[in-house]
Amino acid sequence: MPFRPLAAIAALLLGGCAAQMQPVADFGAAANHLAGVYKPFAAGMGASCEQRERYVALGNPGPFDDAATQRAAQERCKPLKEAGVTAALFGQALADYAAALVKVSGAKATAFDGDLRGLSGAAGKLATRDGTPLFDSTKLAAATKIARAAAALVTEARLEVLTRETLQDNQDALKGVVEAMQTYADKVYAGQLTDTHDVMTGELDRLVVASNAPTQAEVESRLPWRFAQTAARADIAANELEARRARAFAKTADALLAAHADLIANFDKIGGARRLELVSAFVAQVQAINDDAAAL
Amino acid sequence: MPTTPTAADIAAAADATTAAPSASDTVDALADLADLAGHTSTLLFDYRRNNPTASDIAQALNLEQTLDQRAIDLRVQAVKLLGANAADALAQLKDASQKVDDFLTDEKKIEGRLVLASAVVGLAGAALVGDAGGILAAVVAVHAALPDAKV
Repeated sequence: MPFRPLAAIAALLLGGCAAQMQPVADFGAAANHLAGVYKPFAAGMGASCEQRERYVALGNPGPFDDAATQRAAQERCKPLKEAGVTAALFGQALADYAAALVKVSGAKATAFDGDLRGLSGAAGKLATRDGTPLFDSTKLAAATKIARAAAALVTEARLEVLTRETLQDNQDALKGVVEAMQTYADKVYAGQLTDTHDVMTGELDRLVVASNAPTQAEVESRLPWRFAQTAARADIAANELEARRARAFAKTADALLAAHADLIANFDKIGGARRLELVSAFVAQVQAINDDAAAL
Repeated sequence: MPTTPTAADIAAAADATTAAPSASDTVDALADLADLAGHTSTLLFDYRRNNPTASDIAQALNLEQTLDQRAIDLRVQAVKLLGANAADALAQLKDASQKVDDFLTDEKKIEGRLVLASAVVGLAGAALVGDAGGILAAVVAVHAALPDAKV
């Protein structure tokens, strides 16, 4: 059959280009994942500050009203909540960039489908006055495949130029934003979590001491302290998990930057295994964090 | 023989070192100062809780609350500085995302023209696989594609 080699060439051209852009799409998906992991950190600092204030208030002399304590904690920690809005901008910028890469890597798959359907439809309707089709289906199919391959190559070339330029132009900007996210997570947010953790563990230690009942007769009066330990331990466990996530974030962000640099360096190498390995490793690290979160 | 530090002793050093930072302080330094203020505040809290009859309890509470506020202020300042330092990078990433969106929108706009281009390439394909009559028919196909291109 004379048409098979042509169809094979067209399929090869289309398939080869799609594979080349796949690491860009994978990278975009992974970066989006990282932005998702970071998102709770922005609001978390204000929440952790409030939690610390509430624990401190429990140990203060004078009357105690839980609702009033909560309001006072919110007021005191309000500036940190507002700072969280700034911190959230970093994650949003990363998510937007990731979404743009996914879009630009995948857009070529659908850009021409409509055109080709239009072409097939228009040509298929052409007929002589006596109703004989001008194109037989075999010729039309072969011509369409060639058209698809050639037109897709033109568009993919444009998309690849845009993608390569986008990656190259924004390497430094990405580094700046991701490093800001790392500093926020690993230094500022982690510091707040530690402050809160230290107050809570001190209170738990005192609860344990207060729970001691030297005699059976004293057990009843110690029950409130004994029950309170459970809630304190749960708060401490959640705090420690969040601190682990913040620390793991710094490592995965490093992997993301390395993968981005590798994408640029190996953009022309079809099937560059190294960049795929890097991105895969990164995704695995993010997954590990999510597994931690799921264990809560 | 070492004496037990009072609330004032615990706070004095931290109070001095967590004074308002200069403009040249880095984010890391601000974060470290915040950690110091927060840690000292926690020490004072524990001092109060573990020594409820100490004579300087009121002073401890006062210093603790001062350091609490200072830790909050320093962390807020650290985040603000982070935002200022990364402002250009944030703007550039946003611009890059917009550029991709604009490009893809333009691609959609020229879709009609691509229909025509595809038809022309189809003509060449017909020439390869067909006979003279097929080429003539493909020319007609190009004309037929024109109205589609204007949609």
